[in-house]
Amino acid sequence: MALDVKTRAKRYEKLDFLGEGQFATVYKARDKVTDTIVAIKKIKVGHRTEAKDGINRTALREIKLLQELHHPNIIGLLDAFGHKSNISLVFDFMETDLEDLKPNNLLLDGSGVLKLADFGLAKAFGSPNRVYTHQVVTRWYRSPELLFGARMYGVGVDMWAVGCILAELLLRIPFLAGDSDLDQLTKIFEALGTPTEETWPGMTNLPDYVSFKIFPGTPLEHIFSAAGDDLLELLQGLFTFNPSTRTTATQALKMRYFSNRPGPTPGAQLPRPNSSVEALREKETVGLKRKIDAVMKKKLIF
Amino acid sequence: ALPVSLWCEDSTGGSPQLRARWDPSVSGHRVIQRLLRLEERYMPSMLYVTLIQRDPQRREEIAKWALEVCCDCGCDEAVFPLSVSLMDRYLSAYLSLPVSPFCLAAGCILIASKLTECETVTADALCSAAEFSFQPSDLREMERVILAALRWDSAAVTPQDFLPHFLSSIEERGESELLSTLR
Repeated sequence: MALDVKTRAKRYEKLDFLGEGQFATVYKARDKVTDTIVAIKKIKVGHRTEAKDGINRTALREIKLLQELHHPNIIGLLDAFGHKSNISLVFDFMETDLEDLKPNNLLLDGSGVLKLADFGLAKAFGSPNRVYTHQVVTRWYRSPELLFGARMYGVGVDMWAVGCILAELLLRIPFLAGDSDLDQLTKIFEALGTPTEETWPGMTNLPDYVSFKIFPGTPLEHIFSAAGDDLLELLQGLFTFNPSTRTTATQALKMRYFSNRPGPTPGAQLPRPNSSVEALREKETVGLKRKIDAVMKKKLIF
Repeated sequence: ALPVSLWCEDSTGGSPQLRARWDPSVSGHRVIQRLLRLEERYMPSMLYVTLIQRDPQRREEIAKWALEVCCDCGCDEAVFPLSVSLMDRYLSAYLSLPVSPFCLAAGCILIASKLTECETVTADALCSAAEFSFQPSDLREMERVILAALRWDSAAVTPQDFLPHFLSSIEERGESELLSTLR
């Protein structure tokens, strides 16, 4: 094993520190074998008691997923190596900065192709009885059924998150930024109205259900005043409380928004970060998902 | 009351395991074809198979021990076949047994359990199953050695992956008698 770490450490020449998140430190490095630039993500060791059973199990599962998934929109895992309970993952290097390590990290490669990174990895470090103050980031994108403690959940949770990200692109600030789970639910209901057993059958039976004040909610066209009808229709579908009637990815792609003009800009023609005045101005905007913003730019001209 | 963090945990502490419902879109001929293709990636080398066939007792002894440990620890049925697959692939790469073959088997169970179970086997449980012929630290070291040998590609296809698909295709043909015999 010592050999493994030594040879791998020799293979990758650390060039730069890229960023640090709650769960990992990311470095820019050069792969001496292939002479390419890579990003090395060194997962922080969990608590001492977690380390006693060896390699973190969700990290193992995550690596398995990344090895099996080959998709143009999923970041490629090139290599993995470990030392003690540490795991280092080697990824394709992305043009866009990796400085804000968020669980919902969306990156752009050199040709403007959107890459999904980090998915689920944060879950690896979960221990249900620990207080997670750093859960804030994921919480903002969490669906109401998860917040009510649903144990059986499906792809609807991802579609809710997609809705939140889309809303954030429009608002340029996170749409529902709760600072606790309770506050998150309050923010959701204030904006979208408090659901009832009629609009969301089964809600009151969820494990952590608590009854909330009845908020009437704000019509989406008032919140997203620049959005067209087709986009509002999409948002409405994504922000459906009942997970079983929430718009699925397949349904969403068939909606008018995705076929209406203007079409998306080809990846290679997208503006690059740090390459224009525009990009610099964007960099100043706090809490902005500027990476995907660039992809959607064309779409945002109403 | 609402807990501070509503973490989407895998296990539900004591209550029976939640299993994903049967999904018709991930079954049938296409999936079997894909499993067959994937399986090739996890085949031990011909040389290893030949060597084992010449002297199968040693492997059998370790595999039997692994089966016992899996049963004693109440492992899910998927753990044992995956453990043996990991062990074969490790040995196929090295062609020699490590100092403690039981530590190798335990390391394979540890990895297989982490990949397939909600409540995973602990390092302590595995050490005690082997009557402390190795220590938890040896086991953790072994885990890393195995993972490095397999280049972290640990989730192999095992016969258990095929069974539900075979069973459902029998079900579709309405051969219920054969099905109950099989079950």
